[in-house]
Amino acid sequence: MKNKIYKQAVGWLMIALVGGCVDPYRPPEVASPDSYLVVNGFFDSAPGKTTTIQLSRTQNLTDSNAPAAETKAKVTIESAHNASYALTEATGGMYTLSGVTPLSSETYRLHIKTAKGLDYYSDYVPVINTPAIDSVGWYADNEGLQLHVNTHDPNNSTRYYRWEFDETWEYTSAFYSSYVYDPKTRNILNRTEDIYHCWGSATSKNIILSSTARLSRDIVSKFPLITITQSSLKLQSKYSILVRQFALTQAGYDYYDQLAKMTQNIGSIFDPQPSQITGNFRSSTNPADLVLGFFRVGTVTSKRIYIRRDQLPSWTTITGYEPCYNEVDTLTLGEIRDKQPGIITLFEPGIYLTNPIECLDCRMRGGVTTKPAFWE
Amino acid sequence: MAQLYRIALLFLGVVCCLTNGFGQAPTEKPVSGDFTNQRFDQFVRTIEGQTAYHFFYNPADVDSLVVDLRIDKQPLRAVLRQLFEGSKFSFSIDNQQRVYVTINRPIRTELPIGFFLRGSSDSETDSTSAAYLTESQKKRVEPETKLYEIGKRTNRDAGSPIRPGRSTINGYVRNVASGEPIVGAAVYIENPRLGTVTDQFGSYAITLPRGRHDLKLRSIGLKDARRRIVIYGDGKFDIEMEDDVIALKEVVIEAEKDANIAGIQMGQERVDIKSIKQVPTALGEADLLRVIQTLPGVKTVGESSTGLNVRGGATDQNLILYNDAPIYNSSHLFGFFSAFNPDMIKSAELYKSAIPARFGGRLSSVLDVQTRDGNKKKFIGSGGIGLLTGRLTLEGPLIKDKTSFIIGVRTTYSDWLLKQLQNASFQKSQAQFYDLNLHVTHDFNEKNTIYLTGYMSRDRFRLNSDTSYRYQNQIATLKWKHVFTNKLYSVYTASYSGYKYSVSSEKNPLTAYQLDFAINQSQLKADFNFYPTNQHAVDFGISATHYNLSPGNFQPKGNESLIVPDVVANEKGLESAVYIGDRFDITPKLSISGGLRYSLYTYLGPHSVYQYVPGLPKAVNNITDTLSYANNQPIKTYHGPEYRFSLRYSLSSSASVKASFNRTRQYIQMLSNTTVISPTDIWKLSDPNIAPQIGDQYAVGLYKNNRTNTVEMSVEAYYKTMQNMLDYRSGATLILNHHIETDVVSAQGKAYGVEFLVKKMTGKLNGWLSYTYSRTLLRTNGQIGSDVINKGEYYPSSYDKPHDVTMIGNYKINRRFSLSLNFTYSTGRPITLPVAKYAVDNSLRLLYSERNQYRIPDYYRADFAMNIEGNHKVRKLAHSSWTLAVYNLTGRHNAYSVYFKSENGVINGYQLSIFGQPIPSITYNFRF
Repeated sequence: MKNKIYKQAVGWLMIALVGGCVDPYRPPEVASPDSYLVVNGFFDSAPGKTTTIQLSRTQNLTDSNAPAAETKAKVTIESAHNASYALTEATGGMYTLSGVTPLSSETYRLHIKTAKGLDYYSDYVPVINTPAIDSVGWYADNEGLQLHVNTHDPNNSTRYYRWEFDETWEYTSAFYSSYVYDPKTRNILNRTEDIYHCWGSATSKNIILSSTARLSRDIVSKFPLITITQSSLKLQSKYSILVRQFALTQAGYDYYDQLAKMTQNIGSIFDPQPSQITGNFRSSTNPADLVLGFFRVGTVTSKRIYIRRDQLPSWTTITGYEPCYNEVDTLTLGEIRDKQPGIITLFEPGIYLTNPIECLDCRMRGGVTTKPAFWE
Repeated sequence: MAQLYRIALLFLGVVCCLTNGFGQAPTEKPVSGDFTNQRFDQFVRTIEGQTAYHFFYNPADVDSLVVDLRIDKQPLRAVLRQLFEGSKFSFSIDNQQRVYVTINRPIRTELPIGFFLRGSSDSETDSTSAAYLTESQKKRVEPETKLYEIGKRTNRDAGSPIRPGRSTINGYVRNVASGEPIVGAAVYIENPRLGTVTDQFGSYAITLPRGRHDLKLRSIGLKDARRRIVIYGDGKFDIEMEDDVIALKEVVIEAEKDANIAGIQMGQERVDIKSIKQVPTALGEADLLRVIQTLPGVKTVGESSTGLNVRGGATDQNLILYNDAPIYNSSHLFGFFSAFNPDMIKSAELYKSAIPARFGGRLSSVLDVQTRDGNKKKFIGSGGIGLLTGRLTLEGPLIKDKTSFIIGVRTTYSDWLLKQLQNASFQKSQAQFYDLNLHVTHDFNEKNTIYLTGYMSRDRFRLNSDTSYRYQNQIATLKWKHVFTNKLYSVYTASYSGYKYSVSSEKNPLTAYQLDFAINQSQLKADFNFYPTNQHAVDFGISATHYNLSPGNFQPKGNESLIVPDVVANEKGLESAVYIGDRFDITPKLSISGGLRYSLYTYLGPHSVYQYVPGLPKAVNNITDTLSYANNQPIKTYHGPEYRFSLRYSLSSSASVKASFNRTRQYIQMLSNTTVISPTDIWKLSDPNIAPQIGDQYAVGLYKNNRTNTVEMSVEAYYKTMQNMLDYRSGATLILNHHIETDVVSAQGKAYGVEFLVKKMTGKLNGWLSYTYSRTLLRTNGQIGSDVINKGEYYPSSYDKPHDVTMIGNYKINRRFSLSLNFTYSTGRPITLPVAKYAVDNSLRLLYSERNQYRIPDYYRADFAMNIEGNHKVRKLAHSSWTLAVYNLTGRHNAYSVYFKSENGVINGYQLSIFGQPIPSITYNFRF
């Protein structure tokens, strides 16, 4: 008994020592900060392209809604030689401009006048054309599927690159479902929609940057984009990646570099010090009124590749559907009415092969059943 | 009473003797002669020629004795009495007409009555002889009434035996019981007001007008002492002081009671072990750095941190010396304990401004920690047992009165405790440290003493994760003190100080690694102290420090590991300095002290140095070239003067004003992207891309003592500028960075503040109350891009805490019980918070505030402690005491850090408190 009390006391002390204690922290300044303007988009210098600029506001940290759009603003692109092009407002804070191709010798800035009458300007930025992507390559190793990009600028003038990518992959659920239970009519109908084949997608979340400033020639070779683990669902049937390449100015590179260094993994005693990064916009009236985003003028180049399952080593995909194979059941209509599982097919008259609906409906893993237009 | 009795009997005995002398010399022949400025031996020859008397004396004793008498047929006894009156000489004449001339004490020409019966008689009847034989002991009991003569006595000038002018006396002040030197004791006379303070060896030197003086001594925890002296010339005078038994455990802090008024030093705090032991700490163990943190102008960023921020300086700007060798990591167990074993420390001195010229190498402060010397007279031991730690110290003489040692060991049994717990996460954790101290002192003779110190500490911990951390400090110091003359002594020091840490992980055999960091520093120096007159105290010296750093060595661990080794190239540097300083007492009211230190630093090869595009931020993509240098080839040299100046003016005997200016240079800096000293901090030498830090501090202060020096009040204000401070770029990586200059920015700092202190050192209620207002701000030097933080404007540094109130109070109920209450309040430290979220290029980003624009909640804490002394019987096995303490009495959740987590698309803030509850502790201390 004594020993127990002693141990409890020591345990308490250790908790105090090792664990400390954690309380919610919500200082008033952080709970109700000013809302700042956020600018997304760039002036596309490729002939015939439409430029889209999106305006929104920053949100309170605890706000779980979608960001508020900044509407009814006057957005213009101005050249250093006083040419001015007004963008037309579309829905949801989108502003578009078509039919204007910037001069490569000119510099441009973005001017935003909000509905409240506040003016915001970007710095004047040069037109930076992006060289084409030479190739998107890949190889398979112990880590999984490694994807990388190759590019070069024969003029040795680009030097700073950023990439984004969109991934798409085809996958299937555990079983093809031929029937569907209709709770309204309490009957089993033929399923008209294919919920066996799906296409999942994802976009790059991290900032991917590279600079060739230290190299004698402007060549990016095998710059890693993403590693997909061997067992990933993405590699179940067929995988595709679309890589977009952006050439940057040095200022643009520094901006994204700092933004990238800002760790996503916040929250321990030994965190590094973060700092404020805004970009190349500023308010003309109040320097404390921040504008977030980076305006650039230039082109974007892209490349898509496909990787089929049979091109890869015989890796085992962990689909997450593995438990489904043990949950196949044979149920009567009455039991189906009662439990409402997913139905695979007719097993014998009056009895259906069933499985949990999550095992049959591939959409429940985030994909869509519509084949993407580009899919080949 | 017995004393009085003995004195009375002695007196009787002397009278008896004299009577006998007279009685046995009835045929005494009178002597005559005219002696003008004759030496004593000439006088003796004349007398021996005239009479049958025969003289016995030591010629060396009387070589300066001059006889200036005209005698006409007088008995010799009367002549000698006249000659020796008022001097140290005594004489006696036996019945064989033999004259004995001795110093201080006459020779008894007859045995005491009953001498041969001594063996059978009781002590009462033998008290005469006993008193006689123990006269030397009596002298020690009553040293204050005795007149000490210093220097050779010359009275060539007939009128006065003392030449006009000044002489220098020096010597040691020691504890009468242990023989331990007493540091920081005030040695002074009151009229004229002249004084000095004993140095770290307990030695002093003071120049006084020749003649009679009442020399007074004061020191903490010791009885005030006084010596009546006559100075005839330069001489040596050692003084022993007694422990102040009345003030047992109650004297709080500070050396000389009026040092803050009379001393020239400002911005200096001395803490002794007694006050350290009274301040309650989290886990019951007396902690030097915790007490230092309660002093005005000293701050710390966090609860479990022993890093100090002194007057707006960074944690790496403090020179923490342990017997003259720097300690790089002054904490144990992630900062819960400090590196100093409380049983080994004698005292610590913190210099916040007016840093003496003999110190250099750090910008903000010097914390000079001194170990105790071992007891030279007997073996004793002491120790303590607390909830988490145990310690044991042994000390004693190796050769009595010449060589002593003290050895201390301290360790924690937290590992064992963790194993006892059922919780799996605790069982996976590990936390262990120990430290070992050894200090040996040897006196060759009066002029030569050597001191040898060794220190080693090791820490190992793993807190519920697979990564384990280890670090260790190693220090060795050899000091030789050599006294040339009364006015000049020197200290030669060779020291080594090493610090290394390693981080390793073996959880996954494929990624098992070990990361090592090491710093080795070797130093040689010679310091001289010279006292040409009583108005000057000069010190000068020379030093050389060699640094060798291994900034990162990342290696696979185990055969299976696939880790690619990564080694950051070693760094070497040599820092040399010469200095001279002088304290000049212009008038008793005005003293100035000036010093000049010139330091020269060279960054040495082998090393490869990156060159960057001029005018652009130092970034990897701006590297233009790499220059390679051979071994020991100078790569870059920085040098410059460091000025130290201070001034004191006494407004009255209880008030003074002081002012000081000092410049300091620092060639090694710590890089830590966190605000506390963590074991993974990196030290970096100044190199071609990182310039040394330079600090200037101006300070003024007003000091006032009330109620006969029992209540001290002071106000000090300072303004400080710091050049080439380092701050970090966003998301800087410091570990295994081969070009650290790309992750830091150069900044200039300014700090200013006012410190108020009220202190009462005596009485039942004692303690201190301090309030500090201070700011410390940084501004980046760069012009573009990532070199600029907060638009190039001043922003608060991460240890800027404007308001700070500290109260330390002790109340003595009786001699065995005392209570302590501490109270601390300070503004929360600045942090950078995410203030909003937004989406750029399809991903969620956080908008942070400008750097350090918000603050964590204010810090407030109260602690309570009770000391219970064992009984005061002299004879018992061990003297013991108990300390019961409660840390964080109110259980306030003081935020240590604040962090944010993304949870279901919402970002929530949390604050982490290290000690969220009151932490009780009990410690048993013993001494035998």
